Amino acid sequence: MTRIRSLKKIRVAVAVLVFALFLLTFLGHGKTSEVLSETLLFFQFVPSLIQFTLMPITPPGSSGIVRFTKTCTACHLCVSACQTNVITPAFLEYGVSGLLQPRMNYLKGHCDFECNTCGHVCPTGAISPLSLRDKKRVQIGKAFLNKKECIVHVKKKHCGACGEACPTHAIIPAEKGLVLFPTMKIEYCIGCGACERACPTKPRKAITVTANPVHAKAEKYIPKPLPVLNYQDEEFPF
Amino acid sequence: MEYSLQGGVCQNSSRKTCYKVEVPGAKSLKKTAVHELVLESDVLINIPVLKNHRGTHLTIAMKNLMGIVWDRLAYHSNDLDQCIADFCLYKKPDLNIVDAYRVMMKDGPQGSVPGNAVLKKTLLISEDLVAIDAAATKIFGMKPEEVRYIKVANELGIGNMNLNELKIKKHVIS
Repeated sequence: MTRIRSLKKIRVAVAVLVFALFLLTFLGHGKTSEVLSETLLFFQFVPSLIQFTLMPITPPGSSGIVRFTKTCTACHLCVSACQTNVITPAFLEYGVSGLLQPRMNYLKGHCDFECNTCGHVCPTGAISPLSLRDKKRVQIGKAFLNKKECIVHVKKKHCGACGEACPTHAIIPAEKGLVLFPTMKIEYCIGCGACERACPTKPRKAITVTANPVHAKAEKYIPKPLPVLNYQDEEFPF
Repeated sequence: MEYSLQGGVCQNSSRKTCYKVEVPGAKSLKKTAVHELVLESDVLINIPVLKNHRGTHLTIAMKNLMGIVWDRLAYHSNDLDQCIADFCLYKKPDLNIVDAYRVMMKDGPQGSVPGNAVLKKTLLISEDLVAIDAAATKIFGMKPEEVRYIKVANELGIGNMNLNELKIKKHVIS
């Protein structure tokens, strides 16, 4: 009888532990998990657990997860060369065989638009050396805007942090009642994570990047011509 | 003293060089951290470049003052327009000069193509932040009420956005 009771206790304890971990994974994008992962080594798997269910984002030039994991030797030259520290060693995101292979971690930084260093330091060709022009068009992931979290959509007050950070004009304001609502033009998005980094919502980011398992090519933004204003240039408008 | 010897220097703000201040009478920006150069200075001259902005319609004199605080993300998460106006309650520049010579009319603040920059060859000078912002909106063919932070600042009594009530001297230099 006592043995059964103790077994039950263990079962309850395990259930509580699993539930706690389950809850912690939801904090993965917040500051709490960042602090935890930096202070306690033991908890470093917490942000990784959420990523484990999602696919990791591979650096631009790797052309896809399958090719990348086959050719990468996890030498970490790209990790140390990365200027924005966005390339970090993976834990279990690529599975056990892909332990310590680099991935893009947008909790740490974002991929700089004017940089192609990782491809040029890679010795095995896992990240192929792209010219800056080609790299600016490689779509490694796609940003997704959660309108239930976004400050502008919820509070109807201006924010614009993501649109300010976006280098490819993939986040375009749509004006409605003098408020500028951010809207996605997904064809221009390259998945650099600048918007995710800039987003001020807590504990979850309103805009997050999901991986492209095979990299695609983004379209180039060509703006419409300027509208003609009513006043003449020689006079003062005010 | 160090800075004055160097002449003109571009200074980036960091957590170490910014100090906490309280903003009296503010609605949403009650506390913020300001760069030491602004705290030490006798005279503050604000020289913004006029341009379009994705988040707040336009970047002019008041929006330019976001550059002297440390935590700009706090502005974004906590009613951006109100925060921009609130900061002027703490400190107003002694002189504002809006550089509207070559104006980015679209796709700001990053900019996309050189064609979006139009030569307007205008310079606006004023002591009143709100008045200069109101005048600059007219260059874009907008009304001052359409840019919310100007409207909020006008209601807070930081300046006057009604251009009819102001004396504006207009000079043409040929």
